[in-house]
Amino acid sequence: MTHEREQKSLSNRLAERLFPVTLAIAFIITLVLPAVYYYLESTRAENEASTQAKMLAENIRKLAAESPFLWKYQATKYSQIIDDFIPHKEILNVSFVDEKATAITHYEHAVQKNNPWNGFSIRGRPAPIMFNNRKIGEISVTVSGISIFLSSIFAFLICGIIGMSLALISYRVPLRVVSKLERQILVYQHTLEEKVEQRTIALQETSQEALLLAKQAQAASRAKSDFLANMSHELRTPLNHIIGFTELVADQQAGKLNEMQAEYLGDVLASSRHLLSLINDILDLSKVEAGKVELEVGEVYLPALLQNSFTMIKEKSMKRGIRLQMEIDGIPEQIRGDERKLKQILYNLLSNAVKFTPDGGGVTLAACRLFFQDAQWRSEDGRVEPIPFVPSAAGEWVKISVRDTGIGLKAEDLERVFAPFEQADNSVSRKYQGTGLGLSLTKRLVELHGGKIWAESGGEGNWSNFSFVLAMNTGTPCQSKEDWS
Amino acid sequence: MRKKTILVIEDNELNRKLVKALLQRGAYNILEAADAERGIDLAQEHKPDLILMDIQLSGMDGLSATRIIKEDLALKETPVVALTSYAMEGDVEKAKKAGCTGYISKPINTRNFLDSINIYFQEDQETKSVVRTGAVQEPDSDC
Repeated sequence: MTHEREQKSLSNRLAERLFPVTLAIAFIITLVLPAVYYYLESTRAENEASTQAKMLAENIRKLAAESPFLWKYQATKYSQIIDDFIPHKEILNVSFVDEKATAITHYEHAVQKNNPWNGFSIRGRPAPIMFNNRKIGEISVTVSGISIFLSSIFAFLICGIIGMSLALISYRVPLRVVSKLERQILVYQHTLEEKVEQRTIALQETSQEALLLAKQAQAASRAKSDFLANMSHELRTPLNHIIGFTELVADQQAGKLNEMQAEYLGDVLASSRHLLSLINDILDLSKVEAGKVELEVGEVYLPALLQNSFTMIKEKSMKRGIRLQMEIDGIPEQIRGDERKLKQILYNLLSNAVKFTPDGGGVTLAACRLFFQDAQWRSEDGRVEPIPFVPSAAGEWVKISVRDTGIGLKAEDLERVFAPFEQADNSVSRKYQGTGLGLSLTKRLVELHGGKIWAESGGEGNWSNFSFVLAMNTGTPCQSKEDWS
Repeated sequence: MRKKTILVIEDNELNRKLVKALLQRGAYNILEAADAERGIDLAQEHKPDLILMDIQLSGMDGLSATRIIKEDLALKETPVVALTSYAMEGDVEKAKKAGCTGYISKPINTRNFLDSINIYFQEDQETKSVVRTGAVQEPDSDC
């Protein structure tokens, strides 16, 4: 693991740094300290020897002062002076020379004479013997350096032990602390990894659970859709028989009917057809809700689509004296969309308009091109249009409206009419008969296209206007269906 | 001119009955089969002028039956019109691939059923081309 390697190299680096430091500590304590000690001690001994030489020289000067010419020959006298120093064990020898550096006498300590360690001697500075400002001789004292040497060796040993120990401690302790920290970091890393792993596993389990739930939900939704598809097929088959045979009888194919029979059979037919449209709408809506409906996007010829949509309601509107008008100037020739579903949207809106418009009224189908840019809707001539919808990107749109002179809508019903099983009010539903699903289905179909539908009205008893906007380029191109040819 | 023969292959008895009732008004000979196997037998035996084929037959389905009929040289030119239900929109494509000449969607519109049937005869005689037709189907809706 990279982290581990980095941590190890940290302690290695520390060891590399520590080594010269500890080496220096060991060197200073082991060698330099005893050397300094030796130097100081030997200097002290040398000074002592010099002082003794001075004292001796003074005594001899006194002797010379008493008898200036004879003192050289009074050997007993200066020997006596020198002998007074002898008990001083440290003194190895005393050399006494005259002004010409000719030895007058040389004394050596008898006990120390044969000491093999006499090599370790320290000679003090020679002290001149002055008489009448004239140097008449010189005395130098040499003392034994053995004890200094030995104590220095001892000091060296002690300091060596101390130095090595200190060096070892200063090397080992920081390393041990660092490696202990390292180990703790490693342990922490390890537990961290474990924790991450545990979390990851938990997360995976959760996501698997979620996937499973999603699959179950999908399966349930599919089962529901399949059930609805089968169910509606089962419901429709007998209903189609009812309608078919009733039509046959009502059309007097099975013999003449009297007026009352014809009327009642007409009622049976009307109710059966209503029931069929209910079943169809429920199926359509549940398919959309279950996400089962996909757009078959292709090129749609808009003027033709709009014009053809009128043919579907022409018969009903003519019967009731309702004028149909179309205002589609300047609309694009083609848009992208699902033609079948657009047809259904238009049919739903138009048949609603006709249904809710009193006899002799009017229904207008209008369409125009719109542009959405800089958070504003504008018509082709640049007017700002109040569209209650904000698309995610700028682009060209088409607005299609179905306006009627009909019964109008209360302000509070403008939103509600798009909810499933909602008609403006129950008395309306009784009078006009409907499934209450048409507009919610229409809304879903518009939204599938990425568009928006909304209602406006002049209030109860006045006009209503259902508008929707569609992007000119909806969806991606898909394989166009082959024709039966 | 001899009476045209129409073979109705449909497993639902009431559907069959309704189709028969409607066809009787057009003075056709009517053959009925309640399943695909019987339908194929009848087709090979009687060489009908038109076959009305329910797509959702139980047992062998209508598409397989159509393929078998179309493989028969004697029946190759016989138009097969699929009866498809509103719920099964995708079947239209499949029916065409299986060799159906056209389709009539259920529920059957009793008032223009005969006209829809007649188109296949006329086309068959005049141009030998296949046509697309169907009972005019309006999406039905209310507010």
